[in-house]
Amino acid sequence: MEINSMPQSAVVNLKTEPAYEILSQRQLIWRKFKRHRVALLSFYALIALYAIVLLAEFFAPHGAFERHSSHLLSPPTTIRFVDAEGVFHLRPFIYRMDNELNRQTFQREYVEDTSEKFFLKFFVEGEPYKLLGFIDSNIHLIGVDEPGIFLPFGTDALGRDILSRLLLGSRTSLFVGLLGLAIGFVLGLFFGGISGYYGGSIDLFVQRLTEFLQSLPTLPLWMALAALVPAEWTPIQVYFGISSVLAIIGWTSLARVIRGKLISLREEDYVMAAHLSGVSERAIITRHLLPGFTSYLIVYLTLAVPQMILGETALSYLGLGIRAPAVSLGTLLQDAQNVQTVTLSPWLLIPGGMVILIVVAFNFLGDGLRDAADPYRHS
Amino acid sequence: MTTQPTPMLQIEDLKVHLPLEEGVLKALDGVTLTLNHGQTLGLVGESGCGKSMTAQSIMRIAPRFAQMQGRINFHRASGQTLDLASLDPQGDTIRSIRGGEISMIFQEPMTSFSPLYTIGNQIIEAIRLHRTKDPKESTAIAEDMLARVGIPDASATLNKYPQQLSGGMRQRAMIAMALSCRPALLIADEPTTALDVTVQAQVLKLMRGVQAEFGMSILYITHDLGVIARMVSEVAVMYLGRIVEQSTVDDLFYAPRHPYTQALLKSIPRMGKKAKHRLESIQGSVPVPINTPTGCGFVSRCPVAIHGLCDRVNPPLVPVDNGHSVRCFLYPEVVAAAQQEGAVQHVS
Amino acid sequence: MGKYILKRLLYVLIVLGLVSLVVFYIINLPPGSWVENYANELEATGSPADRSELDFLTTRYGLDQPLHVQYFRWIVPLLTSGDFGYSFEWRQPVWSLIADRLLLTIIVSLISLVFVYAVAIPIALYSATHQYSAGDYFFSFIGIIGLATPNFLLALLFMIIMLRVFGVSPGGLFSPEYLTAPWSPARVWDLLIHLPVPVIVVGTSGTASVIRILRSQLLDEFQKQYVITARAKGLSERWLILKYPFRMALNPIISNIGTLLPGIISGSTIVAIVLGLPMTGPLLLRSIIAQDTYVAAGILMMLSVVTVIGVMLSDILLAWLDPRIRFEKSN
Repeated sequence: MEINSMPQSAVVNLKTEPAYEILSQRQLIWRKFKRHRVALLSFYALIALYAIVLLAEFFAPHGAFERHSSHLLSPPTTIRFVDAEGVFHLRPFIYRMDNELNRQTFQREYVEDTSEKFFLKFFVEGEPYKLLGFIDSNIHLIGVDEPGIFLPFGTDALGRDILSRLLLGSRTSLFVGLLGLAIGFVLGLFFGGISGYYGGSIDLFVQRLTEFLQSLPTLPLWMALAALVPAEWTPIQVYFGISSVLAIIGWTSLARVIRGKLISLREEDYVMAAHLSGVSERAIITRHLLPGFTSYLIVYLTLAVPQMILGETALSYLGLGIRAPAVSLGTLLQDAQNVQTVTLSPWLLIPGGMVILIVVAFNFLGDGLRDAADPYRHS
Repeated sequence: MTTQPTPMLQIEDLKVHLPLEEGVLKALDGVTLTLNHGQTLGLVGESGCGKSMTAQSIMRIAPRFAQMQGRINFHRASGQTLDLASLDPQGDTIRSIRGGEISMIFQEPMTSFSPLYTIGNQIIEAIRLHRTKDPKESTAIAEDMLARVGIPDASATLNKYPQQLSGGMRQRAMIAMALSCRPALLIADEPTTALDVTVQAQVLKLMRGVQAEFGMSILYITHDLGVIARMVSEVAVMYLGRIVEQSTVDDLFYAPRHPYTQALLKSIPRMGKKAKHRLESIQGSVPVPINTPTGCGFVSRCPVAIHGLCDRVNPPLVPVDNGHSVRCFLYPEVVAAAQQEGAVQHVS
Repeated sequence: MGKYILKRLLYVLIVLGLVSLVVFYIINLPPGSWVENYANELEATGSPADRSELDFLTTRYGLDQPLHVQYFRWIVPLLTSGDFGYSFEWRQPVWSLIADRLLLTIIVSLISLVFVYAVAIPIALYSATHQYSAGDYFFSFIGIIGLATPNFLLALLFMIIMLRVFGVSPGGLFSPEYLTAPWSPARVWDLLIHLPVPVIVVGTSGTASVIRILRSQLLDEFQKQYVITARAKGLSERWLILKYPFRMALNPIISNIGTLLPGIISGSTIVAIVLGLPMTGPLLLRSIIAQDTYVAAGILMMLSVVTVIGVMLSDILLAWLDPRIRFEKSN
């Protein structure tokens, strides 16, 4: 015999105590999520990143395919405030780098020419491009006047600016992740849905299928599938092809999550209660089941994106994924394949740092969402 | 049962605070309680009032981050008196007492045993820690204990896994485990709450039987006043981390003093009472004891609260009758004691 | 228990049958074949093509036949006499080409698996029992980075560090003098001293994920009633944690081999390519690009066999360790 307590709304407050608030599920989730500061930071960082890569051509100081033939494998330009004479300038500037042949080692070395300062400027004219594919422009966010050349992350062996390529490559990788996710999501929702909804032999079949796909070594299978993408396809087609390859194996865990959640939700008392009070099947699905697992779906989707991105990078790195002239984080890292070159030009590894940052941000975001999706659970 | 005058456990002004993100949760806010040798003391209150925290504090198995103040004096059979509150919760001293001199039965018979080991393994483990290292002897003790708590085919049960037993059988096994080291004090934390009514009656009977047989003291924790009436001689009522009333069980049922106890008793359904009366319930719900203001904890739900007093000053627990203490300003003795302490200057 | 093992074995056989179909189909899906490409190449250069050899291969493997006939011409000798077919590119039987590499792949994967558990279990125990301590945060941070770093990047970083700091290239699994030597204790020792770099690289992400899972499992288990009961018995904290929550958390960890092993096999494939190790990875990549059908199919098939059998063994281990599953299966 548990002592009865009245619903919270009936609390009579004499004074001093804070009033009880009644929050919706969404408010509770957002509250809990905001408390996870790293997740919140990752969330904003990812939004910013997606915005930047969408406008990559504007944020990039150069064109991604523009070759600076006098600056092959140039190290990153140092941004300075104090000049060679020791005078401080409030406005950052750079020196032009020129390469010289070192007569002892017979290697090209870059030396700063301190005779002329090039101040960093906003909205500089440069290589023309089409913003978002249709706005003609030649304005780049940051740059310097000619003949200065601003290469914040250095250049590759063909003299192309790594920052500009990094932004463009991140765009490919970030959106391949999303595209693969979208395809995998449709597959996962379909298979997980019919499996959890119909049960019986369909469920058994789908379960065996997912188990089967999950027990195979992913990467070798991806490699074999990626080889199916015909060589004569256009970059856009390859893009879809690789996303599909990633999705073909990636949907399984999503399907399992959806199935499991659907089955456990169907057995919840409140669903049973809805059935008993004569609520239609359709209303039960849309009003009771879907809200119950959209939060879980979002969590799993968030955690699946980095897997897709890692898969794309690995395939492209092996030469089986995105192909030149298209740029992705994986193809950029292909330039770093030669250990000798990387040892001498470590800035070629910057795209690798970008991969780690993106994946870490998605993982943090997913973790934060997972904690928040269950606002009543105290960790 | 007559109470013996020698105290076994004296809890004095025990405070347990849990620092949480939302603020400090005062799980226990000055609990004072005495338990005599051979006595069965009932501790009763709503969920979340601090009953279980009191038990866990005596055993020193409260969450590690809990901050503890006050004294828990335990008078051992050897004549030594130990302040359990001052011990290292992982130290050898408390571990020799835990499960040996003081043992505990928990609410959840379904989850109290690990599903990965046999019942025998988990009972014998306790016996070998506190009574004998001899494998044969400890198995014999475990088997004997299982038989005594009424488990049929005790030797076969030793080799069974918990999930092969029913809830009632598991709780019997739990009691056997708790008694296997012949504790001086048994803490029973809602041992029958999770059981169905017939099994509950059997287990209560069993507990009375074992107490008669072993003669230990029992601290019986429950929210069920019906069980209290059947099990204990003396009862303490808890509300929001404090004892609000303590008396003999008859006195409490026939002459409850604290408004909370009165309301609690009114909320019990009674047989024979005319059905047209609505069952009363206590207004409001238990506040969460986070950053609570000073004053009586019950003030927000109390129908007879005195404005300007009850919400400002926390009344002391004072005897108002022979062996009947209460923590409420409705009684002049309590006001007088508060004035003596200097907590209340003048009351009109 | 015997019935359970038998059921699992049967299931594995069905799965492997399906794998062989899928693998063969995928490998043969790209248009053209090695033989055609080769013939075209020869004709283009104008040199006389040795048609007789190509014709022999075409009839032997039924390359001019429909795909299902080709499949049976491949799978039947494989099952009856362990004949994996012929490598067009290397002009030798596939099995002789992949046997050594497969053995090394299995060795590296198994040792990586052991490494993952050997490193992850103590760290997870420490982190869970010292939640929110500096050490816990440190390991969490390392874990997050470890999970986010692609295997090939880690391999690359190791190579650069080895080259920069020690001036040696860490490539290879053997010293030159043992490269082609027959197996001997000295060769095994040589292999062992070459293993740390690949094992660490392959094992890092697995280690990070096991730490994560085990730590949160342990923290969950610490709250359970049976742990409190055990503590109330007066057990020492160390023994208590090992016997109750840790033992309990071990089960999901063992069943996690099912996802860990495919990951490790994947990891070892790409790491072998980056580090140039004599394992199946580089050969698989090469054969996929060159459409050397039977090599690619053979490697994919064998990697799947290793994974599927590994997963089956972990399932049986789990059933043997967990009385709950054992009873469920026997009833």
